[in-house]
Amino acid sequence: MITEDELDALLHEAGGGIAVPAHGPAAILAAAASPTPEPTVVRGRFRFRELALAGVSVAAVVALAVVLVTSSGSSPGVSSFLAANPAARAALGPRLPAAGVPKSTTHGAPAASGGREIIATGTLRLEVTRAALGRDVAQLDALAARFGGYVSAANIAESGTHPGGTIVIAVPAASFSLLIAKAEAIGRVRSLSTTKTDVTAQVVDLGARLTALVDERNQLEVLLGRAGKVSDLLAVENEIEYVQSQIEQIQGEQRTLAAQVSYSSLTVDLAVPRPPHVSSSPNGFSHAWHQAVSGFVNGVKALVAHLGDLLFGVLAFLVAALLVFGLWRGVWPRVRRRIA
Amino acid sequence: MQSWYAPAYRTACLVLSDSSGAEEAVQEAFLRMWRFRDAMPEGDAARPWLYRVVVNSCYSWARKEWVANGRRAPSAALDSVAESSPGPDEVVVSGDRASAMRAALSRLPEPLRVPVVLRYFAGLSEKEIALAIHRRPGTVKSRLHEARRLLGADATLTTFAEGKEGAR
Repeated sequence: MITEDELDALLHEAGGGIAVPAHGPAAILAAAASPTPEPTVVRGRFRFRELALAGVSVAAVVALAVVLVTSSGSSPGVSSFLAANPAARAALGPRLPAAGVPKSTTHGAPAASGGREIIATGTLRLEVTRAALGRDVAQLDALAARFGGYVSAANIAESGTHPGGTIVIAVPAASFSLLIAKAEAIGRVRSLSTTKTDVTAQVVDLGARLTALVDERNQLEVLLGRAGKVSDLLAVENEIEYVQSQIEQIQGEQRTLAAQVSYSSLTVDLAVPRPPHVSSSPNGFSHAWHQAVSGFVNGVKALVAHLGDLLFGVLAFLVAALLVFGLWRGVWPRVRRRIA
Repeated sequence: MQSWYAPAYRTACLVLSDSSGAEEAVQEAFLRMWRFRDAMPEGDAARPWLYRVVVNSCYSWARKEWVANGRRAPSAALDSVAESSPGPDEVVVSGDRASAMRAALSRLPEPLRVPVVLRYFAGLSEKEIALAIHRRPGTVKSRLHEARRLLGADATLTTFAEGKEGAR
């Protein structure tokens, strides 16, 4: 190995032999005094970095919003009550409202809750026994009736390899907390999550749009009375028809919102734990190994099932970040050189 | 600036193995120093800070070259410079120790080259190098050791050393 002294001497010899350009300091002073010096470019780069950061942040927010919206939405395709449980179906069926949307408590406007319009939803995961599954379903149905609500969807399997299922209960917003408290007592609580969304701004906006459209329709109706020519008459009628369709659309949105505000929904997942798997192998190590593999696979399945949306969001975020990074590193230097 | 320019330029030359690149990097470094003069520490910490700015400018220049030259790695750019320098035999014949050292240095990987230049040319201590390159002193120590080992095994320097001993 080369010694430190040798290296010191060699490097001083190597560095000392390098000729220093005489114009170097003057060039720096000229660059510093220039009205459009390098700092302009650097400032631009910082701006681009800020823009890139802002872009990445926006992508992250959008991804998170997508995750939240998709995860808070009701699961599509929830069937009506299971054929395997005719008694429970008979008990629940008649209480289901025909249109699937509860009656509004006011004339189209959502019900107020302390001055705010709040949509409350929740998910309760309960662990129940296989034998008591039918009784638990009946209890949930009774709870819905007791609080003046109804079962909006149910999907229960009492037999088969995966007994259990889901019941969605809608109750008046004032009874939501009581419903949760009572439902928790039915089985062993594995998890509980609730979400409250403030839609006051949306409600106010819909109201304002509706008022403006109604005014517009009234004015058009006045114009309709004054129309002299047939062509004018037809044009005004067309416009009235268009405005009326918009009014009806907003009224529909108001009714839906009012239903969501006045009735809170609780999704109850009933899960029956599987009996412990008994290995046929007498080897204790083999049994433990199989249990570990099975646990790992189940864990991954559960992770994918519950975090699927989140994983999608993370992937979308990574792709967006890579795109921004690629543009920053690949395209921007060339653009900057061309500008320079 | 006059007194600082020459060591900064030579340091950049040794780090980049490219005189025009070193000129650009040092110019950028001095502009940065002026721009961020308020952040310049006082006392003993000033010297590593100045070298840190120079080294960072060298990295920026190498990165720009990397992007501009079809994403060719900086080390490849430095290798091409090293290839143009004289081979071991020519060095022995000409006795150009400085060229031999520069060629050997340009063949070192960049993470090892920078500490070597800062330690044995700029004369910074291991602690000051750690401040300059944002690494722990232990990392600097191990990099310097590895660099000395590689330089000791470098064919150019070895041949030169043997030639020197033979001449004696």
